[in-house]
Amino acid sequence: MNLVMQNYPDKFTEESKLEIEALLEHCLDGLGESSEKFLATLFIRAIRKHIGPTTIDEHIYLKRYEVPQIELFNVLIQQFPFVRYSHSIVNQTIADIVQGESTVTILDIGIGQGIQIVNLLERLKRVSGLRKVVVIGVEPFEDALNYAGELINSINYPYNVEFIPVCSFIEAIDFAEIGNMVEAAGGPLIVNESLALHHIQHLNDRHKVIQSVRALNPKAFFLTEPNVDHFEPDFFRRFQNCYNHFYHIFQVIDQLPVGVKEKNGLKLFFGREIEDVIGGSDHERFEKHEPSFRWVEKLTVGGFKMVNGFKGVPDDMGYGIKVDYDAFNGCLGFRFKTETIISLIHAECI
Amino acid sequence: MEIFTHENAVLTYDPETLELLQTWKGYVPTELFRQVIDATVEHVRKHKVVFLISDTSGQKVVSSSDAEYAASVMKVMIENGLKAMAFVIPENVFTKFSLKKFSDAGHGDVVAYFDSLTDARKWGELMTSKDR
Repeated sequence: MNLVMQNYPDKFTEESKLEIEALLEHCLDGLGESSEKFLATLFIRAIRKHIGPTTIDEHIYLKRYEVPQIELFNVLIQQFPFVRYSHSIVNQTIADIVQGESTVTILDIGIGQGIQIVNLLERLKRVSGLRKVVVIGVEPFEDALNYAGELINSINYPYNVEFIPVCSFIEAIDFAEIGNMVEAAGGPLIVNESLALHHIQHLNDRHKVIQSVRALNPKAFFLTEPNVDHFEPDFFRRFQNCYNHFYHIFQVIDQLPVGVKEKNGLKLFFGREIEDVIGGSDHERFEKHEPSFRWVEKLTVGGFKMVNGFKGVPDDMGYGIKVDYDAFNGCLGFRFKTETIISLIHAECI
Repeated sequence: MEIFTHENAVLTYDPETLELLQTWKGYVPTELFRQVIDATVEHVRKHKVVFLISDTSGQKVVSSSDAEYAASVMKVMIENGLKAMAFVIPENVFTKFSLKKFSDAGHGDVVAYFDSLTDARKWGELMTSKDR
């Protein structure tokens, strides 16, 4: 892949294009059985527009690994350990924090289709004395938000549930209005974001959002974010960070107890992220992950302190994944070999 | 004697051993590549050649269509008396990929791959001793 990096974005000669073509052809032979080949193909696809057309169309080969979105979603939620355990640990910790409360307000930033919140509401059934939960769900995609509302309302709870949908990007939201909602709802406020804040494009907006959350005076603020620097403007560094991150993720995918079809479907799913991270110009990119220590820095500047109050951390997550609390950086990291793939942060107001 | 000379490709014929040697160097664009292949076929047609060596050790990447082109002329060379062909395998990984394209095209019984020109020649002598 060094070849691709050396020639990006406009130094591709006839010779280097042929080399990439030869590499691509090599990768496409046995694509489904090799993570390295799959990853290299996804990287070449991601910067295809800079290389220009060759005689090989990798899209045709990759298309055969497409899996319906709903099947992938189930694999991600149920089998992919980074998603499954991050949801479960955060939810269990929230349930622990709200013990003894009669009313709780949850601000879910990037609620998506509501999978994590529904699991949390299930877990809150075990909280004795809980009478009312208000969920403020923020999500820019209306279809997902509607789905989340339907999902939440389709379940019976031993307490009252009020769902307030807010269709917006978090950085565009009127936090004064959110503050009014929180005040009207009553009870302690818990703020949760899972894989959402890295979509905020500009650093100053990230700071503003964190400071706005702080102004709501939450009892706890949970962040779940990939621990990788894709905010990096330098292409070569970003490329290396991206390759290293997904190389490790693909090795975990290879161990999942699902079929080859699902494994390759998942890799293809992550291919869209790779395409965003290295394929787009800086202003087009959406997946601007930052390492956890940078989120911790922003939280600290914003008036939070990090705490290690995580509950339900498994002794053994399987697949060779280690879960350790990094006291120096203030986060719980899910580490595979040398790469901490994802981090959970538990922050409280100072 | 040299029958084709270019800084990136030299074609040498030894009338005593009936060996034709292609020596490739660096990146060889399609036009030049096919010129050398055509010159090879032409020479095999017009002279007695029993053993062909393609020394790709210093060659850079070859396009898959060029590799296929080279593979496609094997039949006509065998029909014109060629008994064996040896490749001296490239150091460049991309050229190795290209070579695989050639080997995938078949002719496995008369084509072999070696790390050095010396080893290729030893094998060639064994394969063609009764034809020389």
